[in-house]
Amino acid sequence: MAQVTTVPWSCAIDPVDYVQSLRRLKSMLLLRSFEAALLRQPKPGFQLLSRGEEAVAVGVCSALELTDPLLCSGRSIATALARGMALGPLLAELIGKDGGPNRGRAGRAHVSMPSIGFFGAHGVVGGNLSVAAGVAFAQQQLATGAVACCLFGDGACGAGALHETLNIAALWRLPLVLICINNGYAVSTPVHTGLAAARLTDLAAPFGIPAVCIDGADVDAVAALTTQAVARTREGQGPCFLELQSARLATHSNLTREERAADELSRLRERDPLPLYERRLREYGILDDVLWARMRSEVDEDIAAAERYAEQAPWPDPGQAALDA
Amino acid sequence: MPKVFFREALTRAIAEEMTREPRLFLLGQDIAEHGGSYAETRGLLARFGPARVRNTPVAEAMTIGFAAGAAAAGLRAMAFITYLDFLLLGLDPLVNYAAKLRFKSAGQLNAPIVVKATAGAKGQGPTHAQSIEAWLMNVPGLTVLAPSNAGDAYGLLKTALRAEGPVVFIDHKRLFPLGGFVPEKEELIPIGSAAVRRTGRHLTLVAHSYMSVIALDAATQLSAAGIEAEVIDLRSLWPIDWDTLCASARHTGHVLLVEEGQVVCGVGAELAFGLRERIPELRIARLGARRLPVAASPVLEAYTIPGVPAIVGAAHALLAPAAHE
Amino acid sequence: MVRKFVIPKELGEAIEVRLLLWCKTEGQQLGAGDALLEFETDKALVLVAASQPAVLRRCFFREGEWMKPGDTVAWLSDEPGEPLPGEAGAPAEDLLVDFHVT
Repeated sequence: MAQVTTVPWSCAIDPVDYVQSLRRLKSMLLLRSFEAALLRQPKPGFQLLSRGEEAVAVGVCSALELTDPLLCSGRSIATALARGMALGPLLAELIGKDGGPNRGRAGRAHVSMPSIGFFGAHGVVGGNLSVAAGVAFAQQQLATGAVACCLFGDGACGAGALHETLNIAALWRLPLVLICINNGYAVSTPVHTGLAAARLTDLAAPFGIPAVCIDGADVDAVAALTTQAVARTREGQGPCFLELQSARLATHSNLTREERAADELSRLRERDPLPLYERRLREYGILDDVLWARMRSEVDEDIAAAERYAEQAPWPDPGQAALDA
Repeated sequence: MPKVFFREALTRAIAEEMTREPRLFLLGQDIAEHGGSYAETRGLLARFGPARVRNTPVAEAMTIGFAAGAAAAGLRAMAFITYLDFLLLGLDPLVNYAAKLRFKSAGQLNAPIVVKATAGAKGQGPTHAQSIEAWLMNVPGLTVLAPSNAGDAYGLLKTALRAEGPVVFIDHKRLFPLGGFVPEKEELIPIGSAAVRRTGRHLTLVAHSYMSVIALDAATQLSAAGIEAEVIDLRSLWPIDWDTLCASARHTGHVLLVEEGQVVCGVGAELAFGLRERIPELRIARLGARRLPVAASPVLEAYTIPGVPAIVGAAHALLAPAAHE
Repeated sequence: MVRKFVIPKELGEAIEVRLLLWCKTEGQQLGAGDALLEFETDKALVLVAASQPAVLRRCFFREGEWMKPGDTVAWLSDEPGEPLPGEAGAPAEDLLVDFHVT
């Protein structure tokens, strides 16, 4: 049955978690900086921005094995990076160069790298959901023990694709974890004007799929919940549905204008996962100015290397365009 | 050669390929205990078990997306769509995901699926009657097949089930009551090969699916009037066998392209232009349904769909010397 | 009276059918309700049962062979020894039958 749970901020930190926490912080910082670097490119293209959703990407990916296929929507940049895609090749792909795993064909809407467990993004809203169910089915039939995980936005919740997928996942007890990133908007449409259901987790209830909603700005909570959900599904207990509430701090895309009011935006900024986690780790005494500065400079170096890689990467050869068509 | 019902040719092809390929599974409405909407999966559940022969709810979009995802993740899938008209519900996963997967992933992923759908007008009204296979021909990444008899259905379906990417296999309601000959031994028919069903020197009749049967009847009638028609059964709508078409066209100089579907942007539209490009001096005509939906009444259906008299009339018109020549 | 059993023309959409099984052999007596033969359309199995007593005299198709609506499948006679039509003749009357379709 659907339930709404809020996971409290405080949790004990042990030595293992200390390393993990710093890694998570650095990862979120990397995602944030990468997207900023992308927007500094002379021709960044049409990009959906993940700013504010870094905790979702990092938290979810930290709960998955390499062999668990992860699918996502067209808002893919943070997910691709968190899943382990190398920065340079990803940046190359996003600006249309060869040198990334999809050789300039995919862009952010379709980027994929199955060898690292990133089954891929898909640009049709809700279009990856039934695909993810099929991917989960393959794991079941081939007895791989893997769990398929599909990220999608609140904007997909009014589409039949979600309901058809929930239905078949429940009927066939698929090893599938569906994760809805609810950032409150489908481009410009607020959730409550696009969806009649009182809560997104209600959508899973008719199919008997357990559903949990938490604050998606808390990377540790996201990781803990996803770990729990994946473990349960991996045991063969069937699919589950997670709603992660997050803040879309940027506009929908780099080419979409901002229409939200200033006070709403400043409220949203209070849920920015990056400063929130930075503050938490300082409170726990595992992050100080020196460590933070070092982290930022390492990230800056990685970003600079990525920019050089993308700069030097060739444009795709049209003569090779028909390959794999 | 053994004579079988059309559906038995399909059953045999599927059974052989499921035996050969343990990862091949079937999904669709009523294919399990019921044995298929056209009795074409009879016996397969008993033989291969419920894991591999799966009834789906009425959800074509989910069915095709699921098939594509499962195939991309290591299985092979055959999805059954009862009426070609309802393939429209599944065009998004077919066209936007399956057809583009190998390309957009730069070869990292592909979706070896066969989507079987049954076309054709047979007394069931506007949305259970369409022949819209032409729509699929212009999707890069899709193979489109349309057999006209049991033997070709058998050989083509076997090949389709071994293909690397998505194949749409279109049969026709009016083919099912017909018996046809299948080879004794296992045999494959290659994709992209048309068949000359009847030789003749005066004109070339080009058709596919059930219209090939009608075209042969028309050729018999034309023969009584001293006109010998060569009948080419396309079998493969994409890729097109230009060699066979051109060889015949050069021989007869006159080509009549016949289809049950709409003439506007129909199969004939592509063939006419392609033939003209290759053989500029050809005389070409095309014949298809009147620009109406197919009505429920058999009287109106017969008015709408080309039959033997229409083909015979069009053939005479094509062969008549042109007024301005 | 010698009667014929003909594949009916009003067989729905069937264009060709396949003879699956003879339930009696030439010379055997059928009672009313006895199964005569089974044939198959692309969609259905059709069991043909005599609804009057008759003796099966001549079978014109073998098991596995294909037939069309309008084909004469068998001759049956009311009495065992009745002479059968010669070269030019053919029974005029149809055997009364019931069809059981599955």
